[in-house]
Amino acid sequence: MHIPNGLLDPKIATGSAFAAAAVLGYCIAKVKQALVAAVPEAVLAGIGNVTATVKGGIGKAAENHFVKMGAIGALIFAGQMFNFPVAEGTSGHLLGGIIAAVALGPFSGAIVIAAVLFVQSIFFADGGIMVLGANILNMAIIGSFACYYIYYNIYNAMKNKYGFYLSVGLAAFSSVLIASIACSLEIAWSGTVNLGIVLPAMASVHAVIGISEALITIMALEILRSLKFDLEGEIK
Amino acid sequence: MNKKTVWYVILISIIVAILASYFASASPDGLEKVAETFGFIEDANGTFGFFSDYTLFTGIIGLLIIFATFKGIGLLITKASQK
Repeated sequence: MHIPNGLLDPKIATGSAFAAAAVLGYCIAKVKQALVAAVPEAVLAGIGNVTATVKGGIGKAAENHFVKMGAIGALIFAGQMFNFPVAEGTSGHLLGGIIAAVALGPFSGAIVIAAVLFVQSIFFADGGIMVLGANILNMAIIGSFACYYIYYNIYNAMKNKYGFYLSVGLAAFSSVLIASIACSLEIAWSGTVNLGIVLPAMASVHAVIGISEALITIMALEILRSLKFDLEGEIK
Repeated sequence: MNKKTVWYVILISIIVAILASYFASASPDGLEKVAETFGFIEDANGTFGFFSDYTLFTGIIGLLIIFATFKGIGLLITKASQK
């Protein structure tokens, strides 16, 4: 679902870039806040003098968290390489927004997906550089950050193991479908093609891809859990 | 969570990249297919990328770039906070 250069007009490309940047900035601020908030615990534990603990605490918590972000980013990048056939002459691939959001929390999740999209755009011309903002908006902000709250709300209403599978599966399915709808709107509003043509076509093919996304997401999170990867976005 | 976990995740990523380089479908993805069907694929213009396509080699380089970038940021913050 990586939009290439040329499909969006400058207004839509710029507008979506500003929207993506604003939310991404918010996510970065939240991650920073969470890492700093991890410190008082260490201070209360009474290790060393307060100043040293505060500084060391930020460093260690941040380092661990960033290594995890890198590992999940690598996993999702590899997963996105794997196109699978969904219909005659059409393929789909993982987007990974919900894997990232449940593994790392919604704020870090969006940052990681944005980083994956950036590398794909710069190094592989997969997704145009001029429309990177729109791709980040669709797949990182909507597909990871926003759709995390589908998981969050459904899981909180059920709070059991089936609730986990159902909420993660629905969030993953919706992340692909809603991202494809956003993508259709951006392309149609740019005057490239009629909304009435592009929207049903995009939504129907991505509903199929979304089912795979749901299954892969559940499987990936189960594998991470079995490797004792601490899922930071998981509701305990 | 121990350090091994992270390396397992990287290992799995590399395995997925290897499998993808052999078995990934070459068909256009959902958006490309829709763009082809309704004739607006011609509006797309190619951009410059350092690598031409995902191969086993470039794929692994790509995933390592992502991992190294985040690990690097983590190390920088640790270093800065220990001063």
